[in-house]
Amino acid sequence: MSDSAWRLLGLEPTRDASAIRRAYARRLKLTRPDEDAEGFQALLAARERALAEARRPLSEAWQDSERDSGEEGPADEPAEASEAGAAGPGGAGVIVESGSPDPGPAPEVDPARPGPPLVRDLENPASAPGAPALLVRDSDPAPPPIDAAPATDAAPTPLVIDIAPLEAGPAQWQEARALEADLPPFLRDGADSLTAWLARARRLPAGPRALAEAALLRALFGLWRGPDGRLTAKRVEATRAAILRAAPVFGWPREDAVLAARFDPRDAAVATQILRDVIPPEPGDPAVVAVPVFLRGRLPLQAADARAFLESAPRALKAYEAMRQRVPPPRRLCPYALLAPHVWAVAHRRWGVALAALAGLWLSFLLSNVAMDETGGRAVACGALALLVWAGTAAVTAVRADRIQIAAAARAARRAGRKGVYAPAERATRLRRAGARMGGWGWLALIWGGSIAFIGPYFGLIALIGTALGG
Amino acid sequence: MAIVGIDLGTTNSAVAVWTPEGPQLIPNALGEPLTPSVVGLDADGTVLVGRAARERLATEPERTVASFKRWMGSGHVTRLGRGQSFRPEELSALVLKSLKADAQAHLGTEVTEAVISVPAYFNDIQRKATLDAARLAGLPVERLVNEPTAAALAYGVASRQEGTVLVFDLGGGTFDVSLLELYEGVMEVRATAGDVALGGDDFSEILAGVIADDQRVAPDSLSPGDRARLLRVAEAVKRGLTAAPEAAYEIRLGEAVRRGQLDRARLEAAAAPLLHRLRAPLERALSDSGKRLADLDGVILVGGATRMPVIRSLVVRLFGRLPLVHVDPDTAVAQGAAVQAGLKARHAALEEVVMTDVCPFTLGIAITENARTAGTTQVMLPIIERNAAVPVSRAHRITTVHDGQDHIEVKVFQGESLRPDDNIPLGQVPVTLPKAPAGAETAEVRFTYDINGALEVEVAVVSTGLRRRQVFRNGANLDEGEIEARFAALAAIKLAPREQAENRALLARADALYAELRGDLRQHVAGRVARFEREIAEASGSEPEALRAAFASELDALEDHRFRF
Repeated sequence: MSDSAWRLLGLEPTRDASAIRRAYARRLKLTRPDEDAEGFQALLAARERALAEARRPLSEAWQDSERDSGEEGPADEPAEASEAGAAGPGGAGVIVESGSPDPGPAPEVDPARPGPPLVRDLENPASAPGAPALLVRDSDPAPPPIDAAPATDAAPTPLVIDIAPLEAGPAQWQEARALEADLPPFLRDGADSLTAWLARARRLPAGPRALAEAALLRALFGLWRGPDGRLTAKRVEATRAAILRAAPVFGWPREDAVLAARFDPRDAAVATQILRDVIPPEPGDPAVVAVPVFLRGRLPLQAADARAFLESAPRALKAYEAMRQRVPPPRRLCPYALLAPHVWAVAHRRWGVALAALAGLWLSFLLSNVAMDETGGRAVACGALALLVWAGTAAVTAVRADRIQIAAAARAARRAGRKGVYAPAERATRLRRAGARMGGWGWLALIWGGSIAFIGPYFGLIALIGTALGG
Repeated sequence: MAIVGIDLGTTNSAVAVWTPEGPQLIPNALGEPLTPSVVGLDADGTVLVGRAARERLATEPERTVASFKRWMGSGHVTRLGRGQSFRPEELSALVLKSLKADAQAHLGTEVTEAVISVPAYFNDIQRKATLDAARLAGLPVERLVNEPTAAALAYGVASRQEGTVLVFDLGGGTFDVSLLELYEGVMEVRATAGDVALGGDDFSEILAGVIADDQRVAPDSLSPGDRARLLRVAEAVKRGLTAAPEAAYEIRLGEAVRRGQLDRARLEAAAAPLLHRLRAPLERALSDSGKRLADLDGVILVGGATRMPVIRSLVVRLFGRLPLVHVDPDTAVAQGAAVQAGLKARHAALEEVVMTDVCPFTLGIAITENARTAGTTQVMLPIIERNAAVPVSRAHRITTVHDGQDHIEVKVFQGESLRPDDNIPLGQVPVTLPKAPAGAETAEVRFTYDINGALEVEVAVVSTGLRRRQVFRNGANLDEGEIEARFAALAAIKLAPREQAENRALLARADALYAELRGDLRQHVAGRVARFEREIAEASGSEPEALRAAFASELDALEDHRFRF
C-alpha cells in the first residue's frame, strides 16, 4: 500500500475505518469537489485505498508486507492504476465504425497482451470483499421458528426483527418457553420479580432469548394497554420502568430506551387509541410480533406515524376492516315476532312497532266483529279482511324485527370493539341470533298472543262457515 | 444580490433562499409556498402561471398545459390556443420567471443567480434543457443539484444527525432514490437510482382509468374537456383517499353527471404494477452503495406523492421502520436547493458542510471486439460506471479494427444495458486517424462528468496528438442563436401582473366551478363573478382583501356543495 494515500489523508497507517473517514471529512472541507475536481478525486481514491487496506484480513496484509519488501505486490496494481487507468496497456475493445471498411481477415486480439484494466474494479475497489446481499424485505416478518432445529450458520438476516434461532439446545428453548409462562405480573409483584426474570433471560443464547424478548414485549404491550384499554399514569410508569430495565438485557438501543423513559402520555394516548381500535390482543398474531419494531422504533409517536405503522401490519388491518365491515346476514323472518308481533315489540321496547301491531290487532278485531253481525257475502268479506289484516301486521313486524336485530347486534359488536374486544362480523351474527331466539318470554308470548290473535280470525272463520252452511 | 434555490417540479415548483437561520421558503403572490407548474394563455394572450392557470386546466384544456417537465429534453412542442407554440424549456422558463419575480418581490433585491434542482435520473440532455430554460428566463444558473440530494441536504442541515439515510423521492413525475452517509458535516451520496417516468401523476392516471372503467366510458373517446375533468376528479379522489379510506366523486362527462365511490383497496390493487416498479431502484441503490437494510438509520420521504398511504405503507413494509418526519415532503427539495445556494455563496453557517454527489448512470461508448462483427455486434464499454463520485474524469484507450481504417466514430451512450441499442444515445465524436494496420492506431477517450451532471467527451489520437473535445447538444436542445431569439420572444410575452395574481386565481376557480355546475347555481356563480369584478375595479386600500376573502369563502361553500371529498 502506497504511503501517498496516507499522506494525502494526513494519517498514520491505521486499520480504524472511522479514523480514516474522519480524516477524509477533514481534508474534504479543504478540497471541495466544486472547486478542486482533481484534488477531490485523488482524495477519494486515497480514502478508498485506505479503507480497502483497513478491511483486508490481517494475515493477508502481513503476507503483502513481506512480499512488498521484495517487489511491488500485484494486489496493489489496481489501486495504483486508478488515476493512470488510461495509461495502462491499450489492448482495449475496438471501435467499429469506419468510413473505409477494409474487409478481410482481421487479426485476433493478441492473447499475450494484457487486457485493459477493469474499470469496474478501479472505481470500486472496496466492492470486492463480501458483496452485500440484497436486503429488501418483501413480506411480513416470519414468526420465530420455535421448534426449528438450531441452525449452525449464524448468517445475519436482513430482518429488522431478528428472531433467528441461533445455536441453542432444546433445553434452552424449553427454558425460553418456561420464561414465557413465568412472565411476572409487573404491576402486582413490583420490580424484583422482573429483575429475576431478566437474569434468567440473560443466560439464554440469542434464539431462545428472542422468544423470551417477544414474550416480554407482548406483556409490556398488554401492560401498557391494560385489560380495559385505558391508559393510566401508573401503567405508563410501570411500562417505562420495565423498558428501561429490560433494554440492556435485550440490547434495545439505548436512545430508544431513553425515549421510552421520556414517553409523553399525550403521544401514547393517540397511539393507544389506534392500537386499541385495531390490533386484536391475541398472542401469536403477526401484529403483535410487529410490536418489537414499534417499541424499538420511536415510542413517542405522531398520530400519522402510528397510522403508517399500522398499515405495515396487514393482518391487523384486515381484522380491523372485518370489524368495520358489517355484512348483513341473509334476511329471514323472526318467528317470535311473526307469532306475536305486539308481544315482541313490547318485550323489546319498540313502542312504535308495538303501537302499529296493536292497531293492526284492533282493526282485525273490529272487522271480525262486523263479520259476526253481518251475514252472507258481507260476512265473508269482512272475515277474510280481518284475517288479511292480522297476517299482514304479523309479517311486517317480523321483517322489521329482523332488521332491528341486525342493527342492534352490529351496534353491540362495535361497542365491544371499542372496548378492545375483538368482535368481527361473525360475532355480530351470533348476537343477532341470540336476539331472535324464543326463550321464556317467547313461549309466554306465543300462548298469550296466540290466544288473543285467534279471537279475530276465529270469529271471522265462524262467520264464514255459518254463511256457507246457512246458504 | 441573492442566490436562490429553486425546485422546478412536475406538479409544483417552489423557491427558497438561504438565511443565517436556515433555508427559508419564499411565498408567491398568493402567499403560498408552492406554485403549480402550470402555464396557460388568457383570452387576450396574457400568460398565466401557477394556480390561476391550474384552475383553468378543466375549463380551457386547449390553452393550458401542465406536467411539461416530463417532456424536458425532447423536441415536444405544445400549442396553446391559436398560433402560440412553446417548447418545454420555454414553459419552464415562464414558471422560473414567475418564481424569480416572487423572490425579488419578497427579498426586495435583484436575484443574481439560482440553483435549480433536477431529478437525479435526468440525463445530460434533460439537464441542458433545464439550463436553457433558466437562460430563457434570464436567470443565471451555474449549478444544478439532484433532487434527492437536495432533500438530504435540507434534512442534514436541519437535523445535524449522523448516519446513513435513504431518500425516497416520489414527485409528480419522477422517482429517485438516494442513499447518503452523513458524518462530520460531510453529506456523501453513496448511490442514486431512479425512474424518470414514474410519479404521482401515474397514480392519478391509473385512478382515472379505474373511474372510467366504473362509469363504463372509454377514456380515448372523451373530449379534451371531459378528459381534463376526469383527471382532475381522479386527482381529487387520490387526495381524498390520502385523507380517508374511501372517497366519493361526482363527475360530469358530456351531459350526464355520474357518481361513484372508491376505496384504498381499489387504489392499491390498481396501482400494484406501479408499486412494483418502485422496488427496482430501491434494490439497486442499496446494492450499489454496499449497504444493508440494517445499516440504514432513517428513511426520508420527499415529494407530494409520498403522502399517499399506499406509498407510506410500502415504505414501512420494505424498511421495517417509520419514515423520518423532519422535513416537509413538498418543500424539502426547494429548501435543499437553497442550502446548495448558500454553499455556493460560501455562507459562514455552512462552512463545515460539504456535499459530494454521484453520477447515477453508467456512461460509455459502443465498441466491437473484432472486425468481422464490426457491422453487427457492438457492446457497451463503460467508461464512467454508475454511482461514481462526481466530478469525475476517466479515460480508456481504444484501437482500430480494420486495416487502413482512417477514422473512428465514438458513439456515446448512457445506460446499463450491454447492447448499446438499448441505452440512450447521447451523441458522437468523429476523429480521423492516419491509415495503419488494424490495432496499430490507438485513441484515448476521456469522459469528464462535472458536478452539474454535464458530460464532456474528449478523444485524443495518440500518434498524431489530435484532440477533439465535445459537449453534447443533440437536436432536442436549443442552440445559441435559438436561445437568443426565444429569449427575445419570451420577453415580449405579457405575464399576468403579480398584483392581480390572486384575483385571477379566484376568477379562474369560479370559471371552473361555473363549468361544473348547472341551472340556478350556475347563474348564481355568473352573477357573483360579475359582482366581484365590478367591486374589485372600484375598490381601494384594504378593501380588495376583504372582497377576495368573501368571494373565496363563497366559492368554498359552493365547492363543498359540489364535491364531497
